Amino acid sequence: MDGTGKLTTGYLSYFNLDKKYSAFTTISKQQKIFLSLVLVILITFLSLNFLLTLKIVFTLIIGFYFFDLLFNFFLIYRSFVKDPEIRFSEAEILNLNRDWPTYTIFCPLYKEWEVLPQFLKAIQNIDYPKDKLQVLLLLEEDDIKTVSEASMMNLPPYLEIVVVPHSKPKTKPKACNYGLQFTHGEYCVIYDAEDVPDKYQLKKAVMAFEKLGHKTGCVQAKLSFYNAHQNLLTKLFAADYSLWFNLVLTGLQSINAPIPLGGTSNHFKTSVLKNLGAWDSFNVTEDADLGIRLAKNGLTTAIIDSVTMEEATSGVLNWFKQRTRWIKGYLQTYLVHTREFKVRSVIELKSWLCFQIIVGGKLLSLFINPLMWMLTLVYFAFRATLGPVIETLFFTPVFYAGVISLVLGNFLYMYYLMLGLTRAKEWNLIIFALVTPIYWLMISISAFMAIHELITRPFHWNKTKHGAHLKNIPESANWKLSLLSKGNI
Amino acid sequence: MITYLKSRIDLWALAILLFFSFSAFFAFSNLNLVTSYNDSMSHLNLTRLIIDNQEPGISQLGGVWLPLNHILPLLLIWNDMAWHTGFAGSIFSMIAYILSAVLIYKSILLLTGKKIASYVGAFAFALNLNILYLQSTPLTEALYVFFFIASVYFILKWMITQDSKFLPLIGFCGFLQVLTRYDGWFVTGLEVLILFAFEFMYNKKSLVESLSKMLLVSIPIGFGIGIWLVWNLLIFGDPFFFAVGPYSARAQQAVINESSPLITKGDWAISAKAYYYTAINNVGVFVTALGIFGSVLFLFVKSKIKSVGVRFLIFLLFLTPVIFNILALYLGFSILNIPDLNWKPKDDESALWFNVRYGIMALPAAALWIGMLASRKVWFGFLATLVIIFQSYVTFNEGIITVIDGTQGSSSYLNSDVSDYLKDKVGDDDQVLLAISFYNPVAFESRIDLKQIIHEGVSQKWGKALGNPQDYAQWIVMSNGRVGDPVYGHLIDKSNSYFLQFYDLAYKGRHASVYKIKDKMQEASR
Repeated sequence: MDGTGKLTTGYLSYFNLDKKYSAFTTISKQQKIFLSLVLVILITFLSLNFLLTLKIVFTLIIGFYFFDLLFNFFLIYRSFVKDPEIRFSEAEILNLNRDWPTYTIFCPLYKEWEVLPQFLKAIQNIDYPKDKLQVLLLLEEDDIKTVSEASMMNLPPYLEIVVVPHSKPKTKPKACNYGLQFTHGEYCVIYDAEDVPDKYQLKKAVMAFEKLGHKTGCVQAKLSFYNAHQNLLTKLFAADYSLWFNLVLTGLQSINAPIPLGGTSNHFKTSVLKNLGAWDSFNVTEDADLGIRLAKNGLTTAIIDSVTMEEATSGVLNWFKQRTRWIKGYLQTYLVHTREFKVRSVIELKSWLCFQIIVGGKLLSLFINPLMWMLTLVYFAFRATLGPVIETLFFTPVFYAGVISLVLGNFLYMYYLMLGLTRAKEWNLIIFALVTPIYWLMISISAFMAIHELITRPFHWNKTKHGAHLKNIPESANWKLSLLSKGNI
Repeated sequence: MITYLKSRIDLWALAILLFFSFSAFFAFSNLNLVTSYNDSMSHLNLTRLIIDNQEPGISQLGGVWLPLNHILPLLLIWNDMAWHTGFAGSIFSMIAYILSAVLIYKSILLLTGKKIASYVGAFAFALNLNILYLQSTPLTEALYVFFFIASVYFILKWMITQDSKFLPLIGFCGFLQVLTRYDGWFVTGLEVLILFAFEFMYNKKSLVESLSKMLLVSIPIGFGIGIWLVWNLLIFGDPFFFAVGPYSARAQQAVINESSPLITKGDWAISAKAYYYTAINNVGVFVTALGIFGSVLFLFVKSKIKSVGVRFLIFLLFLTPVIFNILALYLGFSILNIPDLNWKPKDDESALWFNVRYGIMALPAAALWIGMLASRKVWFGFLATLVIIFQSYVTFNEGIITVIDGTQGSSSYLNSDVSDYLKDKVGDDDQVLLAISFYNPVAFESRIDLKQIIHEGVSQKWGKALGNPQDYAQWIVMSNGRVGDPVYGHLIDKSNSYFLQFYDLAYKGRHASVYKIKDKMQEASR
């Protein structure tokens, strides 16, 4: 990092990441050629033998689904059997009488002054020597309201306001990169403004790093929602998160696969983060990108048994904006990390394959799912007339495999959500997993919106509005307050 | 030496189980008993039809018998030897038998913490000659018993550890149960209720948490049932085809009911008595007595499980298949006969035995309680072992009831005369019209190439062949009377035996007849 901000054709990135590892270039020349070639081959084969080509395409799709089904089953199984989460008991932490290393907390804020008091309270609650703590509130120069609100607050001495100069791209990673030059913590972590982390999280992270050794590049805490019960959307969102953090990530950890980090609560050794080139300012899911970069550099991510409570997006439009950004970021991440195919060892091959399945496969399924659901619905609804036509699109064994994948796969994914909620002991939410197909449909719609955004405005950060839960819930029953008063936070 | 043996005892036990399993299979195979049941042959042929048929495909699975027992043998059924010896189906029963004994051992160990007692319980199961016979056949009983015991084991494990990871496993076992036998539809329901009662009443968990755990177990079970209903809807146009269709158990019972009313229907006492008799005939009277004694001690005398309520729930859990069977008899959903009942539904000695094998469902409970009995005093265990060995000796001398039913009872193959006749007569180019739902064993035993048979699963020809059989088939096999055979229904009842203009009665057997196309017609049809 040059410290002053690097000018890249009108953009300020504040990092030293090589351009080819950044989403600044959405799609490389080679990737364009490759995609064009695939398209040309497909069209040629379709014109030569339409039906056979379709059959082969469907065979590939079903093959992918079948493999994905098995892989996910394997992950969930591993998560249950291996239970790789790093755990420390409260007694273990309290009995420690030691010097704690310095820690920096990044909190990027943009037009979120409403949740600032909640954040301050949450940070105050963290059980970590305050003289070893540095909290950087990363505010944007053009966000005058938040800057002035924050300046007027009586902030504790360990909390510093850093105003990020107005520049493009207007992204969270860029703000964090800017803040990185002011850090003096041996370790660092990002929290969103609405986050309420487990009060022992920093200590747990330090202990995890020390326990796991130098190969661990990141320690990821689990995320959950304090307003999960607000409406159906937040309930489904909570189910989604429970599965991801409680089962999928732990499953990935158990096989040492690359882990796309979750938005906040990822803890790093600052020196390692800097060596990796910090965050990609142009990637709108900089966390996922960094997770893959860690794996590419031979570093692992560990999941700790510590939860950060967040606010689930409760409005449909807001949710679509957020999900579109996430998928766009995943697309960026996929494109960035498929530019180079260097496999020098079995471990790298395993890592690469896992990346293809976790990121590539996940993305692919978002686009294919609607087609397959539609095909299935039409098949069953108009079986007498259209059934035989649809059957001709498949080789017979592929058709059977497809039916199994579709019926069993959809059931299992719904059931996994239930299992994730069980792990999180969210008993009240389990029944809502039954309506999750609506949620899947929404995710697929977001995927198509993400493609549009990737083409039209790749670095645009669709800001998720926070604080909606504060308006909807009377102060007396405020989630935030009730949660903050709980001993475990 | 003793230390060495002790450290290897689990391996030895497994080796003994393997020895029991394979020895039993080879012994029964040598006696031609593996496929003696009508149902054994039908199960094998149903699987074979999926790959070997005029219209091969998964739709040949049919809609009455649950599918799992026909899907598993697909792995081996392509091999003619595995098909005809029954090994393609028996191997899964054998694996199920071995794993059942292992899980009985593990369940007792979980409840008592005593290894020797756990071995005694597993021994009570493994040395039972009826289960040894059933594990040598392609019938569904051994497989179902395994899935049931597995669910019991995981429920016990969950009750003791309170680890939620066992809930999906219980659900998965339930899923397999409901796709193996209809018993599972009731048994799993009761298991879920027991689970709820334990969580809500004993663990004092909130209603929501208890219901959610119940849901977590119920969802895979419901999924299994749902798959079957949708399958029936897609293939037969009615989700309840399996229950109300022409080949359902209900239709079968209606036919029996016409000749002699079902004595168990609507009578709890006779239903319980009928099941009791069949259970003691399967489990053995001495082993049953030991089991009952063990259950009474388990219920009323304090053990590792202190709460009487929990002991009662576990007691109920072990008994769920028994409760189902009595209920099914009472409701008229199921039918069984055994000479002790003194019921002779028709004037035929074979009618004295029917579905006697259902009694085997009481064996897991007996074995589990014997294990728990053995855990109380060392000499109990010693005595129990002697009783188990003595019981096997007695059973062997008196006759294995499941073998008797399969060779002399109504469950046995009654059309061997027909298959023997067809074996030599049907030419390589001939086509045979028969209802596979009725005469699958005839097809199996006569060794006619399945591609030569026009049956319900050959959708393109079946309807046409029933209308004008002379254009399609050289041979017709049908029942001697009105027992629900669709070929008989069409050709005799609906068409007033018009087909006899083209066919001659070639052979009249005890239960079925064979018609051969007249020579003139045969030449014309070729």
